[in-house]
Amino acid sequence: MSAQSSENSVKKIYQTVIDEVIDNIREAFLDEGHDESLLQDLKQMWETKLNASRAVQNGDDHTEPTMRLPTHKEPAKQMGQEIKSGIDSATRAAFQALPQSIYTTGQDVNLKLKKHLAAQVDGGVDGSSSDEDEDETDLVEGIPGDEDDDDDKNDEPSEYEGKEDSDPLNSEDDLTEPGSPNSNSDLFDTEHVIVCQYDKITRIKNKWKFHLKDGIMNINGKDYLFSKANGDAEW
Amino acid sequence: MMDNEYEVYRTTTLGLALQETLDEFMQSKQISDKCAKRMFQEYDRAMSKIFSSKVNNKISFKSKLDTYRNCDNVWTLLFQGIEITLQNTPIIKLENKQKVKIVACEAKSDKKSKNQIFDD
Repeated sequence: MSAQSSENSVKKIYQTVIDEVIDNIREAFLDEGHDESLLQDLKQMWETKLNASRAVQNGDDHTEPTMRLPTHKEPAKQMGQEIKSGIDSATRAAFQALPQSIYTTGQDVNLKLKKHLAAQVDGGVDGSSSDEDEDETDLVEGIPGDEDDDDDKNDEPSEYEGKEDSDPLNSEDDLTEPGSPNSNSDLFDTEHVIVCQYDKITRIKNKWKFHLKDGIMNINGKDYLFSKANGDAEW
Repeated sequence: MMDNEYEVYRTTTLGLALQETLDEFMQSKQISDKCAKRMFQEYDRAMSKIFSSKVNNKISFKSKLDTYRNCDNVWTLLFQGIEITLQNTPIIKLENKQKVKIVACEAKSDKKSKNQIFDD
């Protein structure tokens, strides 16, 4: 009987938090000389930003592609019309003798366009392009340690060869400091995040066990709550 | 440094929405830093309350651990793909190339009253 996993109740729970925070801050807020209206403005902006995040939106993902497709179909039709209108009147008159052929060619174009656009929509929805980007950055991030070593090697000879000194300084490698805090946060950068507390995290050889509690998961842009989570993972 | 374990929820969807809102109100000098800080404390308190009163479901997950780090008793874990089993909801499955981050701070023992954390 877990209603927590349904988005509706996540939304309700979040609303409870918002209402409670606003209610509890009211006294301190008014004491500072603010108006109730300012508090309501703040509440409204908080709610608006929450809803804009889509994490608590109702309805499942599958409605999205079908809602997008019709708008993609329209350009296909327009293209067909442009093709037709581009034909001068004489040719059109000639083609009017063969209306069927125009119809079928137009349909072919539309069909191809639709297929093409549908493929694009699919690609966008499963987010494969962004994954590729992530992979690329991961690759780059795996290297900096090596690159830094190279830098050091480059830097040493450059002390002897004055002319080469300026070039390595302007190279992009120098912009990324070895062991900078950024490199660490990028390593853990991902769109799927679970924030929680742990009761126990144990490891035997490469097998890890996780006993977590009070978590908020943001997976595929959607929020889920849990009170307890048990997990297994191999390293 | 975290004063209480519920500060970890400031980085969630709801917490970030509050953060952005407070930033805008502070930038336009409509509220003070102190007021914003106070509001975050109220947020932490409200989060602890909803977990003890309104959230009561168990989930399980399987995954492959890619990177781990423990700093000041806060675990940051990076997984490659994940399979999450929730109650009354279809299994959530992410492929290996999709990474999942878990940020977990140490849970205080249940003996200690949750409200005590905020009594300073």
